[in-house]
Amino acid sequence: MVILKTINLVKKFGGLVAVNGVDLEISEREILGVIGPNGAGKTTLVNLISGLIFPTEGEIIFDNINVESKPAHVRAKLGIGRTFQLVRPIQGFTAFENIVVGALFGANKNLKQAKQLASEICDLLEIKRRDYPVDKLTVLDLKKVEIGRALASEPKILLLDEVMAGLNSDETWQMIHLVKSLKERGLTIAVIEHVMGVIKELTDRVIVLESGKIISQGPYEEVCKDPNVISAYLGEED
Amino acid sequence: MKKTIFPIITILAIVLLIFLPYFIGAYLLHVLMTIFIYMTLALSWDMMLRTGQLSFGVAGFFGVGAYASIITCSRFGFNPLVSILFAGFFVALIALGLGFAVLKLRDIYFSVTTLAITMVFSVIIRNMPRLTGGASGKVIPNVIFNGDSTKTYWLILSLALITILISEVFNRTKIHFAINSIRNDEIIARSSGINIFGYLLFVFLISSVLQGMAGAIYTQQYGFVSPETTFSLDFLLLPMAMALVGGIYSTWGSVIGALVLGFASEYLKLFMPYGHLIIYGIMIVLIILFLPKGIYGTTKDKIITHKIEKKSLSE
Repeated sequence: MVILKTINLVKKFGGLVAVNGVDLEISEREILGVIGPNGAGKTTLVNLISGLIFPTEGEIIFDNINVESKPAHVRAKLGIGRTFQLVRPIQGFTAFENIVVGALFGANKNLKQAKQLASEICDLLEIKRRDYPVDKLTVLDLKKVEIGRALASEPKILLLDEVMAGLNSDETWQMIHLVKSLKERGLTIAVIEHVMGVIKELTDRVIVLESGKIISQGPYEEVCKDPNVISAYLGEED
Repeated sequence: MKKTIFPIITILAIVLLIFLPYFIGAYLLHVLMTIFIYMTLALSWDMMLRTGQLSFGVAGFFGVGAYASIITCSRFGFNPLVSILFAGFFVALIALGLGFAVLKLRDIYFSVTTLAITMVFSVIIRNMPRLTGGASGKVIPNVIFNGDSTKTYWLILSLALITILISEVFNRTKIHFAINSIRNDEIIARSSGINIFGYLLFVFLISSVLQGMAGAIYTQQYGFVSPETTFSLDFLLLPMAMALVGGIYSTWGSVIGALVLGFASEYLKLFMPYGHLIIYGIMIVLIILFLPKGIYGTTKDKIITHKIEKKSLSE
């Protein structure tokens, strides 16, 4: 079943067309990879879906509801969770409290239930030092807190915007296992990533964006051989 | 152990405060009343600051509350207590209307607009002489409770206690997580499902109503309003100084700040009339320089850091 669908999605920033007519479908329990060169419109696409910016044209249908004009906090409650490319923990809160925020407002729980859920998520993600203020955490823990907050809002779809950036190879492997285990729990996930190895390991299907358009989609192996993709990354052969 | 002691201390403190007028003189009682009024203003200003919005509109809502109470009392014959409640209601209406406009603004734009609104209130009131008495102000024939200072003290004390209670509710419930997130990162707050505008409007309403009611009680105590004294920036700057000295983002910071600066200004005044302002100013500068998070905030930080260090040592 298709859980998220965009129809002819367009976002213009003045003269710049960041997303140009994207038709996207994500099925339930799928891990979709989104790749593309810098400036291809990947993060803009995530911002459009999560509601931080609104599309110039087009529709976003999530769980059979048109959400393109709904504000971000409503979409979070409906079940669109996301993380940010640069980790943005809420300063002054501990790791645990950061996750509680997601549970309180995204999942509409009361304080007691939210704390219960947050400590389950801390266990699931194996976050150490959960009672420490966020400025005393390692990058890996911060990334986990970021995912934890999104998870705590009990999303139906999770948009991961470059979660592997800044991790060493060991930590990247831990993270890959983590994301896979989330899929097994029934989540639908979209990963934006630069590291091709991660895309290969994780995704069921890949879409390639360039200049705001989807230029190729399919399983990882097929996409990699697509001449359009090769020329987008490496340039045309003379 | 700790959990059972705390409510007992709180109840004892409240009982002590209620029966205080029977033990202390009229002068000290008067000082306390002023301190509690400023405490209410400081705390309500801090409530708004916790959402990240630096409001300069304290004196404005204070003044509108004061005028609303005096006018309904003298013109329409409201009972003083009813007029204070009406002032709260009236300020709520105004804050609701203004909130839709000013709460879209952020940072310095919000601050300057709230300051401008204070000025606009005072200009409007100055230019409605038939209703407000214009520039010369308005006097009511009798002060509240016929000048019974014990009853007035109880009234002011209850407002201060209600403010403390609201502030603690804000700091202990779901609201705490919402406003702290909004202050730190609005984008995170939005994508975590927090209705930012809703929470801002709610806190703005509550804090404005408290400021309006403080203004109403304060003028009922003296029976006099005028644009200069009622919209005086003292009602903005002193509460801000108190909250900063005590420590922002916490209930007890503002409470301690109001007590310290309130008593300091009174007793310095006795030692050197007018010269006390110099020492008062130096005191504020020194505290903010050396205890940047305020008296309460810095002490609390020290304790927390100490705990973490102990914990990481034992790990």
